[in-house]
Amino acid sequence: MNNKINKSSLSQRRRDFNFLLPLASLRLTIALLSLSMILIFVATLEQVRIGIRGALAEYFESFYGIWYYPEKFWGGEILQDIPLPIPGGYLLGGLLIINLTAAYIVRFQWTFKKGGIQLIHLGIILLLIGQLTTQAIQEESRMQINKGEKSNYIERFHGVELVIRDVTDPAQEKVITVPQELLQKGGSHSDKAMPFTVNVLHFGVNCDFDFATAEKPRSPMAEIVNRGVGQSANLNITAKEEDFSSDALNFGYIIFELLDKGQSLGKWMSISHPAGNQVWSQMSPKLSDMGFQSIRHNGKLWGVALRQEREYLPFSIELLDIENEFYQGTEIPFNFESDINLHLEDNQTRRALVYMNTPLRHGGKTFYQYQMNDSANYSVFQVISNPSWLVPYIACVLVSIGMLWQFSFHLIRFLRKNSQTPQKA
Amino acid sequence: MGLYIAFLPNKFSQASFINFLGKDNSNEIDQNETFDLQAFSKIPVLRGGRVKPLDSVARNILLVLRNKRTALRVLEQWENEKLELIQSLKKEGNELTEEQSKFLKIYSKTRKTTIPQGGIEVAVTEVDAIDWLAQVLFAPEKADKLKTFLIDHDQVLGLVNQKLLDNGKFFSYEELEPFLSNIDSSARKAGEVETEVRDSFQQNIIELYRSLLIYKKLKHSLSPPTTPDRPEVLEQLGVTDLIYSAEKDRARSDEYVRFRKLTAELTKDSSVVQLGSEKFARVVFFVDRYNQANLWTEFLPIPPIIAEGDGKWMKVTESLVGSEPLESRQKQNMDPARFALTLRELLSLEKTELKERIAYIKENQKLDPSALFATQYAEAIKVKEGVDPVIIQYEELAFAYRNQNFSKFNRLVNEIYELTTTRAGSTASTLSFEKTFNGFEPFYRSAIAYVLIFIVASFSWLMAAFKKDSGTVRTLRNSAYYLTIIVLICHTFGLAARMWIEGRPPVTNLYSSALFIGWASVLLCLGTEKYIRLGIASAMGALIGFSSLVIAHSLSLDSSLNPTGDTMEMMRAVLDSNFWLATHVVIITIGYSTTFLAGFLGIAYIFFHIGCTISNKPENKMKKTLDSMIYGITCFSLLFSLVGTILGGIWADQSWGRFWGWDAKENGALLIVIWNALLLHARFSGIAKTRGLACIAIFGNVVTAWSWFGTNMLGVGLHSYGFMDKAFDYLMMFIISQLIIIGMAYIFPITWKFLFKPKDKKTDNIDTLPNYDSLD
Repeated sequence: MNNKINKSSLSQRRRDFNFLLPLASLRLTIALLSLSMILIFVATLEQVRIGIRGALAEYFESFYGIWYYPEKFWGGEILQDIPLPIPGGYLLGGLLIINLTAAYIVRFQWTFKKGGIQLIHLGIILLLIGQLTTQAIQEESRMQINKGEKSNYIERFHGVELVIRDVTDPAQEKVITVPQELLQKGGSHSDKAMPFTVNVLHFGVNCDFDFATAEKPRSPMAEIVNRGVGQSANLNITAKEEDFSSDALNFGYIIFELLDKGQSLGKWMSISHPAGNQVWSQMSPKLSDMGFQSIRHNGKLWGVALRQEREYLPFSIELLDIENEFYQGTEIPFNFESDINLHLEDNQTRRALVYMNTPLRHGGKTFYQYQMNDSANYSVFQVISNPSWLVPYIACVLVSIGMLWQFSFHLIRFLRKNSQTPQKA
Repeated sequence: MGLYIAFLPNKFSQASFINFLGKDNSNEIDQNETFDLQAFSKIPVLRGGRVKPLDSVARNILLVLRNKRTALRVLEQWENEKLELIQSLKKEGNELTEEQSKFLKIYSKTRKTTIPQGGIEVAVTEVDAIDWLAQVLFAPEKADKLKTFLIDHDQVLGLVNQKLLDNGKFFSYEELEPFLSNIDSSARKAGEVETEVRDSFQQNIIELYRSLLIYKKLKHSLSPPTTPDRPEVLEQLGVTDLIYSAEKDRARSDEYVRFRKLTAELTKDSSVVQLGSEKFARVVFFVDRYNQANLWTEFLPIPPIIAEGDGKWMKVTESLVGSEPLESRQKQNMDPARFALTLRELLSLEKTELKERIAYIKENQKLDPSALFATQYAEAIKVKEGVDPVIIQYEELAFAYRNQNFSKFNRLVNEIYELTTTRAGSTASTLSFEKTFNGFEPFYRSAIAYVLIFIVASFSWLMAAFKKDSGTVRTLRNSAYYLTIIVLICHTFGLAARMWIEGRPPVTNLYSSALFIGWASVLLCLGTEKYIRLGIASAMGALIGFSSLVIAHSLSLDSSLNPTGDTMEMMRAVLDSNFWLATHVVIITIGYSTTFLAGFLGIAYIFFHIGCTISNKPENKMKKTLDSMIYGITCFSLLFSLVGTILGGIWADQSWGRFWGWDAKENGALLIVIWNALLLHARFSGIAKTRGLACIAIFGNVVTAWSWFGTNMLGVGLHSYGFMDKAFDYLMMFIISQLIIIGMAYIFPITWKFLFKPKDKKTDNIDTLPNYDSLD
C-alpha cells in the first residue's frame, strides 16, 4: 500500500466531510465514555432498589433517567431530594455510534498499519448496534412441562392476554384472544366469531388479592363483579404497581362485562397467575376455575380466562425425565437436567438433553434449563428468541483480530526499543 | 534467603519442599511411643462435597471456629513449672537429661504465649489442627477444654459473661456450655432478621451459633449421639439390653451388630412386619434413632462400597439404615397400614429385585410418603448387610486412642488408610499431596517473601537518591529481580497445586481470584523488570502480590463467603464449566490484575513526581519510562478486560440466553473496559500528559476494586455468588486512599511551589481543584 495516497485520501475526506469534524473529536469520545461510566454505575446501584428490569427501563432503554441519591448513603438525608438527570443508554449509545462513524470517515487513516484500529472500532460499532437491536426485539418467555406430558406453546414472562374459547365441540375449538395493548386501552371489543362484545372495566398488570370477609369487604372495584369465580369465591383485589425485581410475581387482573346486543350478561373478574393458570388449583380449590370460567350462552359453552400471553410453536416438546443432583452431603446443586423429545413439524422426533450451559436451539428459539421441581415432577425452560444473536459474535471476532493486530505492532516495537537501550541505574 | 522462605523448612510452616519429594518425616517418629497423627491426617473423608484428608477437615474447621489453623491448650500447673525449670536449667548452661530434653522438644515445637484470663496470666501452647481433631473425635472431654472458639464482639462476650480483652478472646466449649441456651435463643431471634439488615451483634451471635453447631456435629461424626430416651420407655420396648452402654460394651459397633441381628430375623420372616409386633417395634426404634443421628455429622467417613458402584459416601448411621427419603415430619402424612403392607411386599422380594423395586418407587411415587418410608425400612432391613468394617475399625481406633495404645493406634491408622483409599478409588489420589500442601502453606511463604522484595527494591531507590553508587544499586535491583523469580515459582506452585487437587482452572471463587490477581501481576512485573531494571516493577509487583495474598487470607476467614472454611469448595451447576472458567474467568482476572498494576505504577509515578518537586530535580527519563509502562500495561488491560468481558457475554449467551443482561458484575467488567479505553484515548488525543495518565490509571484501581468486590456487596444479580458486607469499610478506605493520592498529585506540587518558590508566578493561575476529566 502506498502511504502517500492514503494520507491524501484522509485529507480529501476531511475536506469533503468537514462538517463531521466536531462529531469525530476525541474529546467527545472521552466525554461520552465518562458519561457511560456514570450511567452504568448509577444503573447498577439502582438495581438494588428497582431490579434489573426497572433499571433497564429507566436508564438503559431510554434517552435519559432521573436519579435520586440513595437515602441510605452518606449525606443521603440532604441529597436524596435533588433530581439528577443521567443520560440514558439510547442517547449515549446513539451518540457513540455517530462519533465512531464520523471518526471512521474523517479521522482514521485507511492503511494496513492502522487496520487493527479500524477493525476494533468496527467491532465496537457492531456491538453497540447489536445491543440496541437486541434491547428492542428480544423476547423472553417460559415453557413449563410436567413429566410425561407435551407442550407446544410458550408463555411470556411479562404481558397477559384475555382468551375466550368456544369449547362446545372439543374437536373444533374456537379461540379468540385480546392482547394486552387492547386491554390497556379499555373500551369494548368484539369479533365476528363470538356473539358478544367484551367491555373492559378495569385492567392492570399487577394486583393483590384475598378472600373478602365481613370485616374486610370487597373494594369498590371488585364489588361490581357478579358472575364467575370473582363472585363465588368472594374475591377482593387491589391494584398494584408493576414489580420490576427479578423474582417478582405480577398478577395481571381484569374486570369485564359481556354484552349481547347491548344487554349485559354479567360482570366477571379474572386474574392471571405469572407461573401459569394451572397453579390456581394448588392455591385454593375455590380458585381452581380461574384458568377456565365457563359461560353458557345460546346453547354454546364458552370459557374465559386472563393468562400470560402465549405463543404457539409449530413443534412440541415432551418431557421424558428430569434429574436434579446435589454434591454429596451439601446443598450445592451439581446438575439440573431435562431429558426431552422434540416433536418436529414433519412428524419426526428428536431426543435431546437440556442442562446447564447446554440449551436446546430450535426454530430460532433457545430453550434454557430455568427451574425444576423434583418432587412435583415438572421442569421450566426459559425461551428466548433473539434474531440478532449472531451480531455480537461477529463483533467479537472483529475486535479480537483488531486488538491482536494492533498490540502485536506495539509490543514488538516496545520490546525492540527497550532491549536496545543499555540498562542504567 | 528467598529460597529459605519459599521452599526450605522454616518456622513459618510445618512442611517444606523436601516433603513433596516422597520422604515423610512421620517415619522418623517412634511407632510405639506416640500417636502417628501425620498418618492419621491423611485418611480420606467427604466434607462439603469433596473427598479430602482429615488434615484439611481439621484445618478448615479450625479456620471457621478460631480464624487460625491451630487450637490453644492451657498448660497444667505442673507442666508449666516443669517447663520453666528446664528452661532455666538450659539458660544456665546445665546439661539436660534425655528425659528433660525430650520434654523441652515437645513443648518447643509449639509456640508459647500467655493470655490473661480473669486477671491471671496462664501459659498456653498451640495444638496442631490434626491433634485437636483427634481429641474432638476420640476424647471429646479433653477437646472441650481446648480454647477453640473466637469471640471478639463485646456484646456477644457479655452474653457469655466475659469481658473483651486484647489477647483473651478464645474460649473452650466447656466455658461456653453454661450459656448454650442463651446463645441458642439469641441466635434464633437474630436469624429471623433478614441477612442484609442484621446488626453486628446479630451477625456475630449467628456465627458463634454456627461454630458451636459445627463443633457439636464434628464431635458426633464418628460416634453418633445417644438418644436421651427415658429408661422406662426403653424397658417397655425391650431394647434396654440392645443399646450401647459404656460399662458393658467395648464399642458402639456392638450395638450395630445387635441391630443387624434384629433385621436378620425380619428378613427371614417378613410376616412379623405389622403394627403392634414387638420385634418390628424394636427395628422401628433403631431406625428412628439412627435417622436422628444422621443429622449430627459434619463429615462423611464411610467410603463408597465398591460393589455398589455408585461412589456414594455415607455417614456412620447412614451406612446402617440409609437416609430418610422425605423430611421426618412427613411421617405424619403416612398411612400406617399401607406402609406395613408395602414393606411386607418389599421384604418378600429377592435382593436384586428389591433394589429395582425401591428405585422404581423412589422415581414414580414421589408424593406418597407411605411407600417412600417403606423403601427406607426395606433398605435398612434387607439391602444393607452387616456393619461396615470401616465403622468397626474407627471404633477400635477410638478405643486405642483412649487407652494410649500407641502401636495399636498406628497399626489401625494404616489399615483404615489402606481400606478407605482403596474404596474411595481415584477421588483419593491427591490426598497425601493435599496434606503436605496444607503444611507447606505456599501463599503464606510467598506473602512474607514479597515484603522482603519490596524492602530490597525500595532500598535500591533510596540508594539511588542519596548515593551515586550505581554498583550497589544495581546489585540490589538484580537481587530483587531474582528474588521475584524464586517467589513466583513458589506462588505458581501453590496455584498449580490447587488446580491439581480441585481438577479445575485456577479461578473458581473470590478467594482464588485474589491469589490469581497477585500471581498475574507479579508475573507481568517480572517481564517488565527484565527489560526495565529500575526496581519499580519489582516493588509494585511485590506490593500487589502481598496485598492480594492478604486479601485472599481475609476472604478465607469471611464466614458468609466461606462457611465451611474450605477454599476449594464445589462449583454450583451454573458455573460448572471448566472451559469457560479457564477462558472467561482467567482472562477477566488477568484484566483486573493488569489494571491494578497500571494503577500502582501510577501511584509510583505520583510519589516520584512529588519527590522531584521537593528535591527540585528534573524527572525526564524516569517520567518517560513510567509513562510508557503505564501505557503499555493499559493496552494489555484493555485487551484482557475486553476479551474477557466478551467471552463472558458468550458464556451468558450459551447458558442464560442473552449476550448481555446488565447484571451488576457484567456492568463492573464493562466499567473497567471503558475506563481503560478512556485512558488510551486521553493519551492519543494529548488531553492527558504523564500526570493525568497516572491519575486516570490510579482511578482505574477504584473502578477495578468496585468491579471485583463492590458489585458482590450489592447482593443482586446472577454473579452474586459471594455476598459480603464486612469488607465494605475496607473497600471504602481503599477508594478514599486512591482519591487522596489523585488529589495530592495536583495539589501538592502547586502548594509546595507556592510556599517555597514564590518567584514562580505561573503556578498562581492554576485551578487547584483536581478533576480527572480535565487533566493536566
